[in-house]
Amino acid sequence: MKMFFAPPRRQVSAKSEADQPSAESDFHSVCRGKKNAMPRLFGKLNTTYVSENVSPRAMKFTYSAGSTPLPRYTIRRGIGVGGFGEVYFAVSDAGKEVALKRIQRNLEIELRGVSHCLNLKHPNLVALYDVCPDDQDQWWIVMEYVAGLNLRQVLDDAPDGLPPSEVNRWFAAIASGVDHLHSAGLVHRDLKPGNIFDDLGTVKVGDYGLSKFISASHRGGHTESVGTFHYMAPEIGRGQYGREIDIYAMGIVLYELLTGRVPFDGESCQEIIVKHMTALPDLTGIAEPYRSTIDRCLQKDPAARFSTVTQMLQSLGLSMANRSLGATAEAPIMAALADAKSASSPTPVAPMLMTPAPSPAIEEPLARAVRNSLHELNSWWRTLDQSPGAKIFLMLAAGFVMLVNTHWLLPLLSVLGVFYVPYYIIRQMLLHVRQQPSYAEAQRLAVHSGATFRPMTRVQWREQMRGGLRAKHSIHRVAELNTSWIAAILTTAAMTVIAGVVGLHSGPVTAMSLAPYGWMSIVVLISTIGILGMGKLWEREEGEGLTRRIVLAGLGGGVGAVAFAMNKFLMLPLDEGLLRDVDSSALPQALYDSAGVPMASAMMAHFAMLFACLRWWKPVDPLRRKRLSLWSVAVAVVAEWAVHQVLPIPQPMGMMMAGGIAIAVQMAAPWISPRTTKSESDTANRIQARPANARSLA
Amino acid sequence: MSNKTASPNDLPTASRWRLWIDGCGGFLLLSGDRISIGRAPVKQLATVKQLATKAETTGSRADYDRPVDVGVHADWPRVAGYVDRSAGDYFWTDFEAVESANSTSRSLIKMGHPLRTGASAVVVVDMPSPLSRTAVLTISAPHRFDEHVDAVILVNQEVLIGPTRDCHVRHRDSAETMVLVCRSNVWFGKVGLGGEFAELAVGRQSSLGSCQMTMETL
Repeated sequence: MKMFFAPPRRQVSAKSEADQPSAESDFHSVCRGKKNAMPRLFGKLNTTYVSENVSPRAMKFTYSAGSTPLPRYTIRRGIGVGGFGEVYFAVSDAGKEVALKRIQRNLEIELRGVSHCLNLKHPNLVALYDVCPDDQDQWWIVMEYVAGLNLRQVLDDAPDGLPPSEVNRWFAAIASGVDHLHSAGLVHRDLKPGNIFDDLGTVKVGDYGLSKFISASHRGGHTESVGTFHYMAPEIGRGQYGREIDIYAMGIVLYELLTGRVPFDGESCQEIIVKHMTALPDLTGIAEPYRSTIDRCLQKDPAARFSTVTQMLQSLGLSMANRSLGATAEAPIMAALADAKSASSPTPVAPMLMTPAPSPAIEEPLARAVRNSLHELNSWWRTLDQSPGAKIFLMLAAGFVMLVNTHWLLPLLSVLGVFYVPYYIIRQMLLHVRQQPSYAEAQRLAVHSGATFRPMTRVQWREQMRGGLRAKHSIHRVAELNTSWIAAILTTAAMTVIAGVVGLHSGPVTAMSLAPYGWMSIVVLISTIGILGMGKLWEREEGEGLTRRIVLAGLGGGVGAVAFAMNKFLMLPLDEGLLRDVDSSALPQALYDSAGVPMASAMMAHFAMLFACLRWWKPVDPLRRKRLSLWSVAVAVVAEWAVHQVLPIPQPMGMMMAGGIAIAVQMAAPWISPRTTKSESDTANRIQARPANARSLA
Repeated sequence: MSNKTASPNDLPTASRWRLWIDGCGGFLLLSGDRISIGRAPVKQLATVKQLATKAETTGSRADYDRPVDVGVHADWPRVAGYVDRSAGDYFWTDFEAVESANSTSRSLIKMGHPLRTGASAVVVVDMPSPLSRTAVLTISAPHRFDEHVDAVILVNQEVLIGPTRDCHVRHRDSAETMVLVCRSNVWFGKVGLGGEFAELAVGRQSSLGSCQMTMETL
C-alpha cells in the first residue's frame, strides 16, 4: 500500500458531487442513443467522483511523523491521498507496521464497503484489521501495510509491458484475489494497477473499500459512478455492478500488463468513455491465448464476457487450483500450455523448484534453434490477421516456391543430414557418458535452483582481483613495496654478476672494466625502484595510459640525470657506441655538444622517452599473465634501440639497461597467478552460488 | 579509510537520522566511514549512549542486546560485519574477521551486488548517482530493516531525492530533484541544483519543493 494513487499521466481529477444519479441517467441515455444527452453526461462525469487521486504535487497530509491520532499507533509518514481520504504509514506500540486510512469523504460508502470485507482472509488481498474512531470521531481503517511497489509504478518502469513470466505472476495472483472476493459475494469495482501491490513478492489486491454485495436488487440502480475511466466497464454507466465489471477491468489490466498501455486511451475522459462503449480494442500485437481472452473480457455486452474468473483463467491455460496457495503458487502459463498434463493440474512453486529442469547441455543447439524458429513461425501464423482464404493462398504459394526449388533444396538437406546425424549421435553418446551418477542429482538440482554458476572469465577474474588490490591496507602496500625493492636489489645484483662473468671472462678484470657494469646496475636499480613504486600506487586501478606515461617520463628524466651523474662519477666515456642506424638529422645542440657527446639533458631526454613510450605499469601489475615475460624484455630492448635512433646514448649498454630493467621489475614485482587464484575463486563462487538447502544436501 | 582495528565490543560510531518522506518512504541516514550491520535487537529500549553508560556502570557489555547501526530483521548474528567507506569505495568486513584481528580479509563491495553475509536476508549496496559517493542499502523480501525504514543511506556529503533512478531516494511523484547535505550534524536542503540551501528542522515536518518530509535524530 505504498502508493494509493495513480501517476499523473492518466489522471482525471474530479470531485464528488451530490447529484450523481442524474449523471448516471444521462449515461444511460447515451447508451440508448440519445446523442443530445452526451454533453450533459460528460459535464456530469467531469465532476463525478472517481477513485483516481489528486495530483501528488498537491499531496498534503494532515498529520506529520510522530503524530498519534489513533491510540497505540504512531504515524510515520503519509503514503497517499485517495478518493476517500488520507493514508498513512504507522507503527503500533508493539512494532506492527500498518497503513492507517483516515476516512474524510464518503464515510458511509467507505465504512459499508470495509465492513463487508473486514473478515476476508486471502493471501492476495490486502488485509483489513480494524475500523475505529479516534477521540474526535474521525474514522480510521487499520490495514495491512504493503511495502512494495504498486502495479502502476511497475508498469511505468516498463513502458512496453512486462515479460510473460511476470505477466503470469501478476495476473494469476490478481485473479486469485478477485475470485476470492467474488466467491464471498463481493465485487471490487475499482480494479486498476494503482490498487494492485507487490508486497515483497506477493501480489495483493487492495483498496476494495468500494466493494459491494451482489444481489438481484442491487445489480442496478446504484447511485455512485465509480472506478477509473480506463478500467471502467461500459455498463457502469447504466448502474450495473455485477462481477462482469471486474472481469472487464481484469481484461484491461491484462492488456496493459502485456503491452504497457491501455486499450482505450484518449485526451479526455469523454473520449475514453466513448471508446469503452463503441470501440474495439486493437489486439493485433497480442499472442494467443491472451488475445482471445482479452477479446472476450472486453466485450461490450456483459453477458458475452466470462462469467467467472475461473473461466477466464482456464482460457489462459490456468486453473484456480492454486487458490489456496496464494500468489506465489501460480504456474507459468506458457509452461502449462506446453505440457497438457501440467495444465490440467495445479503446479505449486515448491514442486516446480524440486523438479529437475532439463540441463541446457542435453538440448542440441541446432535442434533447439530450429524448433524455436518453427514455434515463432507458428505464433506468427496464428496471429496473422488475414482471412482464411488469404492464408490458404499464402500456404499454396509457399508450397509452390518450395516445389520449384526442390532441385537444390533436397541436395542441400541431404548434405546437412549427412553431417548433422552423425554429429547428433556422437553428441548424445558423449553426453550420456558424461552424465553424472544419480547421487549427484541432488547437488546438481540444488545448484540449478540457486544462482547460476559460471566459471569466471579472465576479465571477471581481473575485476575481482583488482577489487582485492584496492581493498589492501596501506601498511600492507608499503610492506609489499619494501619486499619488491629488496627483490629488485637482489635481482639487479644477480644480473650484474651474470653480465660481468659473461663480459669479462676473457679479459683482464680491472676497475675500469668493472665500472660499466656498476653503472648499468645502478641505473637499472634506480629505474626498477622507481617503476615499482609507481606500480604499487597504480595497482588499484586499470588506469589511464596518458597520465601514467607523463608520470613515467618524469621518472625517466630523473633516472637519466642519475645515470649521467654516475657516469661522470665513474669517469666512463660517453662518446662510445653513439652510432645510429638512422642518421638523417643533426643532433640537437641543447642535448649534445659539438662533438656529439650527450650532455645531462640528452641522457634525461633519452630515458624520459624510453619510459614514456612503454607501458611500464604492465610488467609490475600483479595481475599480469606471467611472472616473467620475455616478450616484454624484447620490447624494451627494441624500444631502447628506437629511442637511440633519435637520442643516442652509449650502446650496447643502453639496450642492456633497458632489458635489465624489464627483467628486474618483473622479477621483483608481486605476481598473482591467474591459474591458481582463478580456480580458487571459481570454487568460492560455486559454493556461494549454492543455496542454503544445497549446502544441507551436500 | 578507517585503519583502526575494530573491537567486537565497539559501539556504533555513525551518526543516525531517520527521514520520512510523504508519498515516498522512510530512510535511515547514516554518516561515518564505518557502519555496523547485524540482527535487529528484539526491542530497542535504550539509546546507544544509555547502553554505554549501563555497560560502564555494570562493567559488562554482554548483558544487553547491543544495537548496531543497521539492524535487519533476519537470522543474522548480532553483528554480521562492517561496511567501511574508503576513498569513495565501500568494503565489507566480516565480523568474525574483525574479532580475530584479521583486518585484511575485507572485500570490496561491488555496487548492485549483495553483501556476503552468508545469511538469508539479502542486502544490496548501490551507488545510484555517479556524481556522489553516497550509497544506498536495500533489502530483499521478505526481510525488513529495523526502524521501519525502506532503505538505509550511507551518506557521504549529500543525498539526492528525485524522480529518476540516479537519485539516492527515488521519489516517483516528485517533479524536481532535491539535494540534502549534512554539515556539522545539521541538515540543509535545496530544490534543484540552482536552489538555495535551507536548514531542515529536526523533529518537525519540512517542505522541500513538492515534498513533505520529517527528519528525526536517533
